[in-house]
Amino acid sequence: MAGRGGAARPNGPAAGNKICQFKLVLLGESAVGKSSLVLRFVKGQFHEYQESTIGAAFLTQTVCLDDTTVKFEIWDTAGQERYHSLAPMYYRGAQAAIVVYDITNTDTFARAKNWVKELQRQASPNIVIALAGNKADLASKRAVEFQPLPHFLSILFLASVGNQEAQAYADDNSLLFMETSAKTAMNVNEIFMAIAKKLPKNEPQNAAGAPGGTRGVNLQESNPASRSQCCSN
Amino acid sequence: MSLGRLLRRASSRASDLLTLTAGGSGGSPAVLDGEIIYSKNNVCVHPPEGLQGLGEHHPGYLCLCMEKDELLGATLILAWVPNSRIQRQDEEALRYITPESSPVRKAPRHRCRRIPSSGAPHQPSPTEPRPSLMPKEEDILVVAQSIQEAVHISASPDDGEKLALDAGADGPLPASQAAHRDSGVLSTVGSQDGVEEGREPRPEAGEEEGSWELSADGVSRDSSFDSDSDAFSSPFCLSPISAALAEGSSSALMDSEGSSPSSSDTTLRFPDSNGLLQTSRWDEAQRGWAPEQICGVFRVDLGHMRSLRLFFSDEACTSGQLVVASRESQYKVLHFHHGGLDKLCEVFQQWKFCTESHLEDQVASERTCVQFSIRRPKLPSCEAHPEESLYRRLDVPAWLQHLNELGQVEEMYKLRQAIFFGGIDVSIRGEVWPFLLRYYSHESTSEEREALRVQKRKEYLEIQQKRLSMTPEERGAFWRNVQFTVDKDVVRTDRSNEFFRGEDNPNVESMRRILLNYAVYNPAIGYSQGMSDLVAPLLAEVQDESDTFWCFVGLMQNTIFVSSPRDEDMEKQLLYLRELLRLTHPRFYQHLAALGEDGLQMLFCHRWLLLCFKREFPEAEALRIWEACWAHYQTDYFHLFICVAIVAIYGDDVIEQQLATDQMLLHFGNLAMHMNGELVLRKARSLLYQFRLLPRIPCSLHELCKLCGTGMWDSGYMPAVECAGHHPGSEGCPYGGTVEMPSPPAPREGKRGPKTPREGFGFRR
Repeated sequence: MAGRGGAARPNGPAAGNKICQFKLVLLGESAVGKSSLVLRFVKGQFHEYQESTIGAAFLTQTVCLDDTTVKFEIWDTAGQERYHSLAPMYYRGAQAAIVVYDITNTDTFARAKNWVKELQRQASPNIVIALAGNKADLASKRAVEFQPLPHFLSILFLASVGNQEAQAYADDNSLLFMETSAKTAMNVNEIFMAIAKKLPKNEPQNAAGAPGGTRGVNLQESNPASRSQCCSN
Repeated sequence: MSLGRLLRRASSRASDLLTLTAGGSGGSPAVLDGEIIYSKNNVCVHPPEGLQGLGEHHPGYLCLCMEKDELLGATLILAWVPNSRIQRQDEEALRYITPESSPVRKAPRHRCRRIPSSGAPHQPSPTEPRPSLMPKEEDILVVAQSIQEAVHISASPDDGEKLALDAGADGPLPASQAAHRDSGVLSTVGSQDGVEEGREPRPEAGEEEGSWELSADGVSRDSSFDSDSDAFSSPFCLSPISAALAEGSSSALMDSEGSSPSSSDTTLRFPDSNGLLQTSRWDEAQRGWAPEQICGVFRVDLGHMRSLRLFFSDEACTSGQLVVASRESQYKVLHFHHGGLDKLCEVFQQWKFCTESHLEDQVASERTCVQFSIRRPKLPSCEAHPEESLYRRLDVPAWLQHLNELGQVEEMYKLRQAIFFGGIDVSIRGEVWPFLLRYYSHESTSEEREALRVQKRKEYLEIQQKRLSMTPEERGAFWRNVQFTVDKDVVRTDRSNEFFRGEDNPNVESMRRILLNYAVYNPAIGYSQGMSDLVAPLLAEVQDESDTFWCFVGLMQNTIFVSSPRDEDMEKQLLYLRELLRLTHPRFYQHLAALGEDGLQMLFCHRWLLLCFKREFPEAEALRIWEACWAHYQTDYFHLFICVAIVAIYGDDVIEQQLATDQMLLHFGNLAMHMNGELVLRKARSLLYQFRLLPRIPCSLHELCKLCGTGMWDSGYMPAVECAGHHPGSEGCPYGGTVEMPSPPAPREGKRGPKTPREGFGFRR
């Protein structure tokens, strides 16, 4: 059992351990489970009635990958972004993005594709993009209709997204792809770990001497591509 | 011997030591590790809203132990243990609140040397804590005092200022307390205070009557606490690296619901306390159900915190909040509803003095991170709005006085004024809000209002009919653009409110219809996320669906910014807010400006504006803020003054720590639901008052004074406008010559050019 403070205090970094810090942004249609994925990853929690995100939220989580400590700085965005000119600000300088859709709803998949396109066009060229088909716990409802609907709508909606279809799309666009469930925690850590593995970790960053202290922009900012998008002032 | 007495006994020694250190006796004093120098029961933790089934208050036992620290001389360990754990006779929990010197601690104990043990629990002897129950109303305030147990003690008379921790000396502590204390009985303090804030302090009231005792053998051990204990007692660790290397970094994620056993091969480990927002990890151990996570044992070394802030909420400065911030911007807020915060303040001040004098001998470069500040609710009288204390909450009799015999509001301005300062009693919100939201005209008689309601209900049903009779194409588009999101949102809006709780709640269905019908009524706006947050409290207060709908229409019209579909409206609000900050809080503004465009976007306050602070304060306080904004008293932009007030009260860390954009978002995000709404309101009113005293304002803030009418005066309020420069696309300052001032020659000094000196804008903070 550890003592009561006093003696055992953090002793600073051990030799050979690299620290990398990455900005990651979550994008996707509203109510597909972006905040729930983050909450599961960061706090290990799941709320059935997670309230909608207004504006943006910022969270961090640190994982160890071999000899490297990877710190994710996670920007969780509102699905229905009302203040549109801000969107680029969220993904500007991001080294990674998770684009989320709901596997029971094809429309959210279409929206996800649009986000992927926008990221490919406007975000940092080296951005690692992962596609997450969330709500995999509802996979059994993938084939069947998941909610009684007037038949005219069933054509438009709720035709669910097949795994193969999404995988093919991801392959074509060099995206990481997993079906996830924030509810059961399926593949949640895995998708973040897969991203962590794929991110470049060459230069050791920000020796964590003063966590929470002054820290400027992201250290590995590859290219603030979309600065021109900013709102006028 | 009572537990309280025992604690005090133990404390006295520690406080002597503290004094000794402070007295400059030099060298390192013989600090007794683990001495409890302050303790207080029924200090509450409030779980965030949205977690259902949790009470609002989670009372617990707080104590401060002194510990040796190489750098600081002495450091303070703060521990808070929920009452529920104490009642369960949880050893781990009790260990934190049992003084080191307690005889029970010396007793040998299998397994764990610090586990308190006592002999026969039911036969209290002088050497063991009496198994006295801790009645829920009772507040024990134990403050370190010297051993002779005098009522008024200065620990060392020659430097009394250094330690004046006598509990009976001031505040609400009655003289009887001293008597209690002498008799060795747990002192009961402020038992009436418990209800004073109108909150029911303890949801699980009944259970708390159960006695608890520091019994060793009779303790029922929940096996899971064993493993928890390591997390509790391991030192609070801030360095990501060392934390990563630390043993037993039993991944919170992997442990929770056994989710990812397969990932072990990737050495997935989640170190303690280094994610900025691993609140649960920081607050307490991870296992168990939600309340256990949010309201579990909390224990930190205050010497390694970034800041300690005390926010007093009452005039007497005894109650309020202690906000502990880690170096990584994690927060813990401990609520002192029943006094005792003043004593804690003294302990902190004493400790700060000790550590500082100790540090003088040390290497100068080594510094403690702790910053300590105190906020008292009183604003200097020269700052407070002069009408501040003239108004009480608008209750039924007061409301009736505003109405004449026909049911007309006699003087709307007076009503607005009263609401602005005093708020509306919960019981009549549903009746008064429709006036503020301009559903009812204040000139309308009771009869006319009834007629209006009938007519408006018909209109509402027509709108609904329109929605239900869409063509299939229309309906498809509507489903896609509106209904899809509404359906997802209504079930996750205000779930914690009794009114909307449960499956298939008809009120949720009402909320859904109102939002859908609104999108039909106003297709230009349709549905924006956040609207459900705004309509839910209206429905809960007004109750009638049609009336709520029309109130909501009024809300959308009067506060277009709230759910505006257009970026310009938000941009306008932000522009005003930036200007207001520049005027009133230049240091904060400079910090934003130094961060560049991203900083000036002020991401941290977007949700404040979009939801009118709904998610920043507990509902009761948020609705007070809504009413104050809806009152449109002296300004239509009171919400911006609220923003500035929050920054003024809670923004010091941002400047001191030079927080970056994302860190600011985290900082204010973490403070959500933990800020003091009344204090913020008072500050905002004060800011408005001072703003209106300014003889000149920059033209960029011209709008802030424009719209809200003249009130009881013949003329509007418009100070001289000074051009702040920057009017792209127009020649000169558009406001310089356009100030609307009905009465005598408006003294104006526009067109001064962009280099206007700023000294005219003296603003007291």
